[in-house]
Amino acid sequence: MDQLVSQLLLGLVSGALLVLLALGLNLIFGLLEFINFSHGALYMLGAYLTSYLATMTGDLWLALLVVPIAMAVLGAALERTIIRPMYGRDQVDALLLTFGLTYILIEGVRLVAGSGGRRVPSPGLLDFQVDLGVGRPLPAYLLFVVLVVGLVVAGLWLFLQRTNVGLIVRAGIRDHVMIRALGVRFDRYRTLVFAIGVAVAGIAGVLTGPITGVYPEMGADILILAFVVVVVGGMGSFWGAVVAGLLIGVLVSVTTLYASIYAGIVPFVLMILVMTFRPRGLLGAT
Amino acid sequence: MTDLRTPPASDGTPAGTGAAAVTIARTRGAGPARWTWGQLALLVVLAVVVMFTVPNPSLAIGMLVYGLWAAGLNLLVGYGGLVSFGHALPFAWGGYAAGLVLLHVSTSAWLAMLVAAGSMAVLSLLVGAVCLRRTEVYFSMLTLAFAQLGFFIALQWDSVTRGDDGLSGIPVPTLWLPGVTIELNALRDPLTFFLFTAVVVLVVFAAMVLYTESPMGRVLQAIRENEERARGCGYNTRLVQLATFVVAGTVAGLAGGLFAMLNNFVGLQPYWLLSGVVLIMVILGGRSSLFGPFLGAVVYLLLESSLSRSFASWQLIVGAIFVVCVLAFPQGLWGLVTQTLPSLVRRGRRTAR
Amino acid sequence: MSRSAGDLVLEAQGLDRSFGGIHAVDDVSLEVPEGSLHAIIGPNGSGKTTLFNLITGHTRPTSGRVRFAGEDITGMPYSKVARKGLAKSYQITTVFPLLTVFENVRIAAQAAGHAYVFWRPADGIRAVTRRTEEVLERIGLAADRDVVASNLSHGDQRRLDLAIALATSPRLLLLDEPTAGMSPPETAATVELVQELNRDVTILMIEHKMDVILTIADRITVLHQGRKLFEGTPDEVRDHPEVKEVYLTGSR
Repeated sequence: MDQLVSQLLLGLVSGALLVLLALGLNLIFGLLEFINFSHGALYMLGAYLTSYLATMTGDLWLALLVVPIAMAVLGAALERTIIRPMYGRDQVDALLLTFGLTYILIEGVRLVAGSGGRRVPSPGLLDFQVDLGVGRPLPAYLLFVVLVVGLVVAGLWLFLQRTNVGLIVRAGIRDHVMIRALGVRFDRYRTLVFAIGVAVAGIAGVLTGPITGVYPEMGADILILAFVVVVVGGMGSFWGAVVAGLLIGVLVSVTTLYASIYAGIVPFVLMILVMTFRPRGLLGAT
Repeated sequence: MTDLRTPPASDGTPAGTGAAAVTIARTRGAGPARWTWGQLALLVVLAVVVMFTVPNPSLAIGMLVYGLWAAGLNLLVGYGGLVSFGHALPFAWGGYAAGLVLLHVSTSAWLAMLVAAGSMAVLSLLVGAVCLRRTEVYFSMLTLAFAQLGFFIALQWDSVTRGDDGLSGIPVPTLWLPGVTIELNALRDPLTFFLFTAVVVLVVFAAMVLYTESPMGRVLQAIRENEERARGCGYNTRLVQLATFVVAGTVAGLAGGLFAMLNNFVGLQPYWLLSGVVLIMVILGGRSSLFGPFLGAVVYLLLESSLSRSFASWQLIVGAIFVVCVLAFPQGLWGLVTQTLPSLVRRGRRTAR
Repeated sequence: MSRSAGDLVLEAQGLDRSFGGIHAVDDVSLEVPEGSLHAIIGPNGSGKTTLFNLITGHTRPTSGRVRFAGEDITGMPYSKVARKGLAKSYQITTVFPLLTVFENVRIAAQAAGHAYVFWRPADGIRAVTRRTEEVLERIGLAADRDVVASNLSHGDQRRLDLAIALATSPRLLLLDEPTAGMSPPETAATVELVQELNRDVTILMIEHKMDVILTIADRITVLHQGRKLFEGTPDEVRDHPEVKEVYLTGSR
């Protein structure tokens, strides 16, 4: 029982990281109308930046502040330079472009940092175990991860509900044609939204570092899972991504406990079921 | 209505005007210009060039196999507007199917190919039915997810796939023809293997050209242009897309089977890791024909064999070429040769006068 | 199936559709006899397009039935309805932009007998080619057959849109504002074309331009706030006081 509870909690942690990536994908899709294939690679880049910064400063805190900003700037730069020419073209082209970008980012990191992984020191301040009363004691860092993800999710939700940009993004998710008609005046918003999406991926990268370390391919597998989350939750659905992310995190984690060889398959089985019986996703608009 | 002005030129030409259509056609890489049966002749020429110029026979045969695979994928990507990110699935499946037949059932090349292609056709029907529940980005994400699922199964189902080790020691296939029996040993007799592959590839390629030229293939392109309108003409558009998914899957299954026969090995590497590579071949070669992706495959493999020896991060260059292709030359290499170069020459002549 | 002039091609009974409590179409019935040219008018938001969507199966009615050529087609998917001979031309021009004019029409022409043929080249199917050329000739686009559709002028694109609908050899043609956004000469040409088409195809059309409707329609249905306000001949509509008021004050 203790084991199950612990595994559930661990599942929530990995699910929370998936949620961050899926929300970024959803956000970008909402306004920019394409799936950012390089999202995983950008997450990996954020994790690498964290690894260097944390090694330099001996702690994670600076990275948690600097990396999201750096990633946002990078995101804005990418949007302004290579993604912007894709608007008005087929959706497919932007997808392909970011796919190519993935190659460049992964190979670039391999060239600079080598193919082997790097470690990221976990923050000394959180280097203790917390007994929640259920399950075995958990490292405080994992609880910290859940807390940060919760804050980011809340922040994004407020951003979508309370700001003009949020209003446009929400409208865009519902009606792409309208956004297209609004045309060029929303270039700034596109840049902003892409930057935010990338920054959120960066935050996920920062948080992952101390748990798994960093390696060039770390973005590839989690990107596919994030896709599954988006599909299962319902494309464009905010809470769909949150629910599906946590659900898949927990399902994988629990399956690992009982039948580890099936753990990798579980998300896909869930996805096939959802696509068959509810093609718009669990919370997708109909 | 004052805010609905068309975007400035930097954002692409406004849609709806005549010049824009040409621009769109060019940027989409799916221009209306078609090479139909001439592609078959081009393919024969390319195969002959490969045969006499590529010194490594295994690489030369690989070019034919990958070329066929990429051309098949382009039925989905270029003709159907359906970007599959999981085309390694049918390739790997075909490889395992052929490998298992050769190992456990019979060394007949015909049977191995038949099972590889046939079983993949059935599987494509099932996978396609799910992936085509929604199109566009959904389709891309779902195909990728299915390929990942296949990878996990191949990794875990040790008793059949031998997991990480893969199926090695696949026996040399035998080709029974009326009157003769030929050993398809790529190591000892690469020329025979090459010729055999070339014939198979040509026949399948011709069938694909026919498919794109048939009413069905035309509808597929019409759906890419305007699905709602195609429905309005009375077409079951999903049926057409599903049929194409099955064709592309079957061709990839066959290519995977040939690849297994060539290498006498099937495993996680490289079979399951090639979804991205085959897509690069398609984009590099050009989406507006079947020959383009074939050329893309040959060029990619040439790049790989020459660059990878001298530069470990050669994929960085591939990625950069790919991005430049999508940004500036979405019509790909073949489009560059057939569309851009002639117009440049024409312009050059005009200024020369 | 015999086709005498009195047969009803389309029969809608008590069509009703509400979106979130608001009745977009409220208990509308419609009878379109073979060979007629029936028009639907009404101010913006009076439910014309929704009514079309209910007929074509794009939208499911909350209640009511649609019968086409004697067969119940309520809630049938659009592609199936289209196969039965109900073609629609769109309000926003919808052609296959990167295909040639010929190819555009051929796609529609082959739908009837050669829809899913994959074992022979389309170029070799004589009957389809002949049908395509016939339609192009009739619509007046024969000279532009090799032009890429998106390079046509707006007016020609609308004609091509019509040609696609016509090439499926429909029994009933739904036209959604066929003259929208056209200059007066283009409008005149289109009116002529519609009248010419009506010689062998039944037409049900939505139109905004009152003068157009009054010249060409046999019968007119006036919609107002989702309800049928009046139905009659052009002369009756012209003289109807309530229609005059609604149409003149309610429109833009």
